[in-house]
Amino acid sequence: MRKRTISTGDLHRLTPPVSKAFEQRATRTLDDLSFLKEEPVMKRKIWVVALVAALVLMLAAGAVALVLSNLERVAELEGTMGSFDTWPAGERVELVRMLLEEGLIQRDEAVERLLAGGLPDQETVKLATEIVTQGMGVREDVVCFVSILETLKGPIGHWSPEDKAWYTDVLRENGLLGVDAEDTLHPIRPEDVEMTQAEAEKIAFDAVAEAYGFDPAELSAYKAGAEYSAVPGKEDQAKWMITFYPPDPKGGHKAFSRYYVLVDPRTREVVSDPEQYLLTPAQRVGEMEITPDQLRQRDALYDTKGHHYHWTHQERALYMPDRFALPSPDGIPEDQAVRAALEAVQNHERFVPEAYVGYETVPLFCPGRLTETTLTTKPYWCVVLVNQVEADGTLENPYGITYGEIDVMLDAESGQVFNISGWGDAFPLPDQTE
Amino acid sequence: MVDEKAFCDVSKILFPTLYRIGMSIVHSDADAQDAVQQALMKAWVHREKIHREKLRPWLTRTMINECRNIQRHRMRVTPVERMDENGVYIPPDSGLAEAMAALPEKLRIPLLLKYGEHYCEKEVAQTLDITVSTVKNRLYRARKALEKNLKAEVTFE
Repeated sequence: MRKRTISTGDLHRLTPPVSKAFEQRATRTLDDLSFLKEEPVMKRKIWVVALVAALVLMLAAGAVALVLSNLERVAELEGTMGSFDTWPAGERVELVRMLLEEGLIQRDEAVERLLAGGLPDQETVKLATEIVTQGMGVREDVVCFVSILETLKGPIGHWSPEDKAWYTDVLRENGLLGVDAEDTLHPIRPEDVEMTQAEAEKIAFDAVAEAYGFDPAELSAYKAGAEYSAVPGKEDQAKWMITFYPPDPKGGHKAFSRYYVLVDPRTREVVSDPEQYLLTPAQRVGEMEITPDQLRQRDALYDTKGHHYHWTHQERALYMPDRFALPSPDGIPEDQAVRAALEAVQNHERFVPEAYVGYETVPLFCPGRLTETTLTTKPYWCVVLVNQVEADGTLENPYGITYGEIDVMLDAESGQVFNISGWGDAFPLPDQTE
Repeated sequence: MVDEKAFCDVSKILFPTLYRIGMSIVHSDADAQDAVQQALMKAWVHREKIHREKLRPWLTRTMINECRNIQRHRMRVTPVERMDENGVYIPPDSGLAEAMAALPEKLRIPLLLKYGEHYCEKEVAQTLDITVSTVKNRLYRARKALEKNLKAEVTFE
């Protein structure tokens, strides 16, 4: 029999290369996410799907029932047409009417002009979009079923278990539930449950306080949220998920939290769910490389200083020891690393000098660990050249935007550059050819 | 747990892998892109409870699940796209493409993960939630099926 050797490239060429547009779009999304301290409001159908999955972390203790069933039409439109920014004129006007009914937008001259009709489609789309985005205070690509609901009722994590179950049902009915009969937890209505929500919250409170060393008075200031969830088809094994949301320095409570607890209503015990990658508070603390106190200090630092690019070496080494360390006195100094990095980038074939505008230089010192992302086990400098804009509260930039980033890795001892990677107009991604 | 920077770094490196695996399942560029984005968003939300060492298999598994959901919800099985005057992609080795497409998905995916994306057998097992011995068995069967389709003794580089 003849022989045939199949290479990696042969297998890769079975599919078309990843389009640059998609890769850049996804990269930009990831970098916008990484710049955030907290999760953004959901953007599209894909966000809606992820948000439902996130319900295992998010619980609501909201006392106000959600009675917005008339907005289910938004989910129906998303299910049939896709995200709002692709909707034609008629559907956008329909959304304006719905938001008017809900009181999210007010009847003003612009709304009157839109509802009077008679405008060309293009102008209708533009006017309707302005009305919706200004009324909600978000970008066009953020407008969706869940973001509308959150604008009206607050973060989904704070809703009641019944409201979350209703929301999940609406998504499912409109084909917006990414994982349906698979092995992911989904909220269900807490009916005939052996343990009440309040009882579950008490057990969860004690577990979080003990594991994380919370003073009870401090934890009491957190907002408890609840969800009763089960894997589809295994409703008899449903569990309470209680999450405690930290106070937000800007007011209210944060939309996301790591302080979740899974409580089995039948055994009344705090449990883990390895298949869902859910651990008990004690297990999570046991896996941390910093103490619970340091964890809360780190959260406070994110609140005051923002992204860790803006922290000192000492702060990064203290609160993120798995990734950063204090610069070694035996290695090359920081300014030498920065000079070498800039020179390497300027001489790189992918570098586009005329697009290198607005970049800041962030030297990071890393201990060097063998992981999927590091390329050495020896200490190294990672000089980050990044062009990012912080959130400014405008409709165009509510969360901050990263336009490009170039990472230069240098051996801490020799100063030799061993890796350069990046993206953006100043450092375009290479062609996908083999 | 995986922090934001590590998550983004790994995710960017994994784009082509996730996309290729997605294409091998849904055979549609738009659906594959959808699946990749959905998987990344889902993983982002869960990032604090994912161990860094398991991020790659977790992401891959999530993406495979998203592909299956897309197939189920859209009730669509699209044949492998071929490049024609309308700009659809045609793999350069049509014989290999057909031989791979003829493999059942449960044999094709492990083969692509191991030999196309260089996942170790343990990672393949974690990704697909099967045992390592099952992975070995499926790789063996996949290679044998390819040999039959290609009428040649197959080795992988």
